[in-house]
Amino acid sequence: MKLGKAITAGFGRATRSFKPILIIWFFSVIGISILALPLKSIVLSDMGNSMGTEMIKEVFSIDFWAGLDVTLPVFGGLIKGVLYLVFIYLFINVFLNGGLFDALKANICGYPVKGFFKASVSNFFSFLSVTLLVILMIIFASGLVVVIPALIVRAGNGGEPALMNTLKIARIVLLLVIPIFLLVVDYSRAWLAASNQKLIFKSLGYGFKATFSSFLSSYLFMIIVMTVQAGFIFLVSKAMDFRPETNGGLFVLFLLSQVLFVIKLFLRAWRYGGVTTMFTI
Amino acid sequence: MLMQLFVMKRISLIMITLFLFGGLRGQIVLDTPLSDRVTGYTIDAKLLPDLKIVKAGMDAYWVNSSSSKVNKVQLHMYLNAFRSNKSTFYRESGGSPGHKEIDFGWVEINTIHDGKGNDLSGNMSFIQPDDGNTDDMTVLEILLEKPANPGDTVWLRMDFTSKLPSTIRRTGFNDDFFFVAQWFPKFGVYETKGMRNAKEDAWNCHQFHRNSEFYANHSVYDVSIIVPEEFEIGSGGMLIREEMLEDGTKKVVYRAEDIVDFAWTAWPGYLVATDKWEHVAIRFLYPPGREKQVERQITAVKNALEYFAEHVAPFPWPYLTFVDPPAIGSGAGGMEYTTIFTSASSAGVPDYILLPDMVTVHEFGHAYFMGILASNEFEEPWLDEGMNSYFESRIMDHYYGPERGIVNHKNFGVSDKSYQRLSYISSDDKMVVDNTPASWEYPHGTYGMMSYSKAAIWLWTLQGILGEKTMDEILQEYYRKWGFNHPSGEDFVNLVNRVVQEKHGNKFGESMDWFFDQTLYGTGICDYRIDGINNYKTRSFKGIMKSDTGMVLIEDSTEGDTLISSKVKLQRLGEVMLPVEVLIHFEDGKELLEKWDGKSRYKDFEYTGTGKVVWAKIDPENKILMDVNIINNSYTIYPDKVPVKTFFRKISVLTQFFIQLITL
Repeated sequence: MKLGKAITAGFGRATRSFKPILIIWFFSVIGISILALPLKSIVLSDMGNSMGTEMIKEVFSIDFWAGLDVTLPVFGGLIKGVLYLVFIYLFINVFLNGGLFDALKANICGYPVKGFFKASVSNFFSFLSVTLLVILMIIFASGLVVVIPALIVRAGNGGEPALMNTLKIARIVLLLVIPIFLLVVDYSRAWLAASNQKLIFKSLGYGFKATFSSFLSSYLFMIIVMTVQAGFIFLVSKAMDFRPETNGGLFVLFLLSQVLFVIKLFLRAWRYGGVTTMFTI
Repeated sequence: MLMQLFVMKRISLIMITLFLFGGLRGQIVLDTPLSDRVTGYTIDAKLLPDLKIVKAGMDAYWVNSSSSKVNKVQLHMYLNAFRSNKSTFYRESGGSPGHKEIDFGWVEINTIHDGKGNDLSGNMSFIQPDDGNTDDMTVLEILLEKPANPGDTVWLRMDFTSKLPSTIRRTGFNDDFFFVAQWFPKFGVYETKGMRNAKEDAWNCHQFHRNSEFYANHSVYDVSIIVPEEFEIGSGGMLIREEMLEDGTKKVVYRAEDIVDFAWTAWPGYLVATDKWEHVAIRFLYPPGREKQVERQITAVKNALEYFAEHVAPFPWPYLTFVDPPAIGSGAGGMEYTTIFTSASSAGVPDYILLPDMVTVHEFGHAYFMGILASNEFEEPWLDEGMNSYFESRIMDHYYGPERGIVNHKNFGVSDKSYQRLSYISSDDKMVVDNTPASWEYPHGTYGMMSYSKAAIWLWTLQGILGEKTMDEILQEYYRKWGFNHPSGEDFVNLVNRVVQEKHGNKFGESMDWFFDQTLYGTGICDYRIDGINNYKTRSFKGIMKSDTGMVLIEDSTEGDTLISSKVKLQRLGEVMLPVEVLIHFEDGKELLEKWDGKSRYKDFEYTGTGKVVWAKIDPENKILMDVNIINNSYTIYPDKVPVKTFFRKISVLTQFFIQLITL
């Protein structure tokens, strides 16, 4: 019953939070454009009128990239840029999630943009603290589940097969454990958004309590959401096989990719909405 | 002349005697000897796994095939490279063999006598012919009691102990895994005057170096190895027999003929797969957990066997062993010992990553270049590594796809040829040195890039100029003339010149020296570029002409303004001058293939016609792999930027999703 409600009501809350979702999408597009557009321009300029692009029509050709003078700076810039973006977006997403949780809690169609940013500001530090703490917990758990058993097995006499089997099992265990941490962080943020208090450890305590007090329905909900998201990512990877041949096709690729990204944001809002629903039941 | 005849007769007599009574005992692997077999070894070895030691007795011979009296012999004692951190090997590579006594490796001759029973233990001294490093004990010189006359055979009978190092670098142990290479005292090569341009008869016996380890005589090996019975053994010899001993050990007897080194491995964990390719029995040793890699590894080695047979010559031995070392022995991976070699894989390597297959093909290929031709890897590493890398990329790209010899993913392909080329063109040091230094003398860490990649790339370029057929004819002749004979780089160059003359006359000039001077012996780079394409309407003549009636204004010629003049502007940016083709494409679909000798700094091709030039490509078939920048080899007046934009669009989307994924 609780599970069904979380799925349907969470979906409804996410749908009604379309404005915050679009705001998050907007920030994402701006950020990625700031990174990618200059690098693209550098490559296009270095290429000049070369026909070398024929080489990357079908596959990622190492000969093409090796031939450009700017490859190393461009790829170096790309890697650095992605790292910076990840770092910056950790904060931006935390900031925007503060507003999104508030919108999901409000559960109204015309949730005002002003209210979204106000809640984002208000929730920022507590959301940031909770998110960072849970990220640390996930890293610690990964070490516990994957690295330590692997080291123990490696030190033993099991050899390569035992190590491979241990890593396989560890991956599965980790995959089963991660939803618990996601539930904890989501319940904590739902509590912070609802209580208007800035008590980080209390919210985390509530996160754990709520996760385990209704473990079956919460865990099943998270597994369902994650399965849908994984299926969706598979679809995205298939869609990204599309290779446009014209500028029109390129625009279609842009539209397609951004629609898919907005859907991805919606699926995440569905997850938050479902947890918020379970929190209110 | 008479002296030479005398020497030849004596050698023949000695060979017959050896064959009947001596070191060539046991079953014959090959129908006829492939080499002169001036050295041979009979070794009885026992592995003591707990002590990480091999104890052995050895009878070895060397035939003085020169016309000089020789009063000393020189032997490789390569395990001594692991004796201290001051050995030449560790000085070149940095680091140390370890900290505990068990970590170090060494080889010690316990007793040594000549054929007449004279004790030679007082006649031994270590020498350092390459660098004078007195801490290096990898070359042993033994003064003979009596000089060896031309045609004499020098016999050595010795007991030695080889302690394997714990850090496996080519050779060593880890727990109960053993890869036993460079483990016995082995004769250097006594080069006669003129051989490989030697100025006089002398020993050529180099120290053990970080980057090279092979230059030896083709020899006959009769080796028996005793190991605990639970150990599985692989070796470069053909199995003669295996017998269980009463003390829980087993004795395995091998024989190998005409190979330059004898290595073996022992580990209780090995699984064994066997297969056959034509006359070659293949034995593959691999660790548990890598069962899925077996088929691809055996396919890779069969591909290599087939390709070499078709393009050079068939593999001469009837057996071949190769090993995929376990993770604990990964330091032994990627090594070659002619009839045994090691691959490098792991259980989780996906099918589209072809690096393990590439390593297998590469290490197998050494059987031809290091093993059969047996050039001097120390002094001319490109003759082995460069030629082998060239051949490896031919094989990989032939069997796995022209753009997919290293990575064969649906969205990402890397050819082996490109992989080699990338290593060369992306190096900032590619103009620092040519291809001629000895392996330990390449400056600024350029050894790998120069001796593997640059050499492979200029060999590809040579193929581009001469054609694959001629290149195969060169390699076949190289094998026929120099197989089992230790050629030098100059011998190869002379052979190329001769074959090209025979096949093509003066088409490429009186010799190919112009090519080798710029590539093998040169440091320049090759870079051709299209600077641009100009198309403009031809203007009709308008002007004042003097005629019989005075000055006349002429406004039109027979040709109207409909004709288009086009100019394709080419430039040579690098120092290397090679003949190139230029493909010109016109608006009406017509194409012209122009030829340019590539010598001048610039060249313009001009046309007048009804259609403009739309695009042009230098070296359209990518024959000149040495060209360091192929992006500037083409020019179009309608550039297609969509693929680059698509790439960045996809990268952007990927980043968007990735950030969402990790920010909870």
